[in-house]
Amino acid sequence: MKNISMKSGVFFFLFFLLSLNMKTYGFTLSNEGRVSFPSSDVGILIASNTCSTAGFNSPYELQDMVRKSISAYWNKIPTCALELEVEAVVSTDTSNMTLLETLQNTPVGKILVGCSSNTDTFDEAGVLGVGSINTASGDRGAFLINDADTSFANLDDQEKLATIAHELGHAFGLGHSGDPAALMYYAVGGKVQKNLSIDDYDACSYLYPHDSPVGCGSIALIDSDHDSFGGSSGELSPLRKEASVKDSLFLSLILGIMLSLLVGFKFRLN
Amino acid sequence: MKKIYGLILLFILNSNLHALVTAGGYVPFGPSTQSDISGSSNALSFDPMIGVNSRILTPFYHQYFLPEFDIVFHTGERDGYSKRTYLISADFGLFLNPHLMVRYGTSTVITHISGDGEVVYLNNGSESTPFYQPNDSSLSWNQTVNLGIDGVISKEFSLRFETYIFSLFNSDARKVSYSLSFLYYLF
Repeated sequence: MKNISMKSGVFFFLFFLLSLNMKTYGFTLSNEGRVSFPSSDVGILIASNTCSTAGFNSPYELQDMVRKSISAYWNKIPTCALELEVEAVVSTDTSNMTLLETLQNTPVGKILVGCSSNTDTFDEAGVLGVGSINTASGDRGAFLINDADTSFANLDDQEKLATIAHELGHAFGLGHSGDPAALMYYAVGGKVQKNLSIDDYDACSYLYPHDSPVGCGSIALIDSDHDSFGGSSGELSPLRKEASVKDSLFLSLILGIMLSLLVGFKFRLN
Repeated sequence: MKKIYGLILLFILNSNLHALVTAGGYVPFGPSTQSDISGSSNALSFDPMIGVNSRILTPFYHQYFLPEFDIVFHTGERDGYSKRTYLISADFGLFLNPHLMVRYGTSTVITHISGDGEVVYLNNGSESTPFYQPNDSSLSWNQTVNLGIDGVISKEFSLRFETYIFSLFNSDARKVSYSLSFLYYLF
């Protein structure tokens, strides 16, 4: 009798535990489909023009804010291999460029960040920025902050960081999300974006997955037609998958035994 | 292959072998993720986790070897994609007293995300524009360091709380997931 009530209690507890998660998720990719940088280390360049209407008196203020933004959001996801790094202020002037012109002026493999007062790009009030990735002639991303009006300047610091991170998301391949808690939701107004949502984690992990920790040693086993892990397809070949699972099991076992020995010695010494 | 058969034989012949099933909840990166527009965290968003594991007494100073395989079924409504997490764990455990065991070890965590590539229309400024949902699958691999405790409830049941530390050596990306689960001893 006691055993039956124990089992019922366990089932009730598990049911309660699992009823706590009823959220909706739905990340998307850019309107080019699945496109991403071939390398997960992506450099960010800052345009040289000032953006006084948007609230930046020098490109170095913008550089500083972009650095804070990537540190607060995209570089914090353990399951996503993407590493964004602010590299330098470059001589490109984006002050009157469209997004397409900015992309054309971006070096391959980089993201160019600037601001613009171009009224074709910012043709309506309230648009804070635009960003995109382009793979037509080499992978490059860009985003522009609206310098045509003061809508960006009027944001508080956390909203500015979130807006920059949102546009960076577009610049490395993400689309909008249907989850209002997500950074990639289309609007920043009326919400507090302290952290990324699980939807943002999933989106970044999908586009830039971490390679198997010890799979690189199995070069001879890789089917060259499918060696695109972490790139645009992300599919493992059957041979590579087998090698990776075996390697990972082995690594887990070795690390576990080492930890066990360490703890064992500690207790023995005590 | 001979080594694998040898290991299986060793486990079968081990008189201190127990087989267990696990059922519980797993919270991926709970306090570090946001659940709503007010900025609240996902600290209690448990996703169902089931697994099989065993408990084998080792010659390493009375420690138990606790190999385990778990699958996490991520709940919540996912529009256009599905997600599973697989954990292959090699933990060791040490009884501090007859009712409490500390566990420590490592897991390989595999995050599998896939989708059908539908086109959806979402708000973009003042208009709706098409965006593409994931159209293939992607596997992301992580190695974690695990710390946890097992509380023995009865001969058949234990309650376990375990933390999985991701990216231990990267201060930006270092995050903790955790699980709360019941272990049922099959034999």
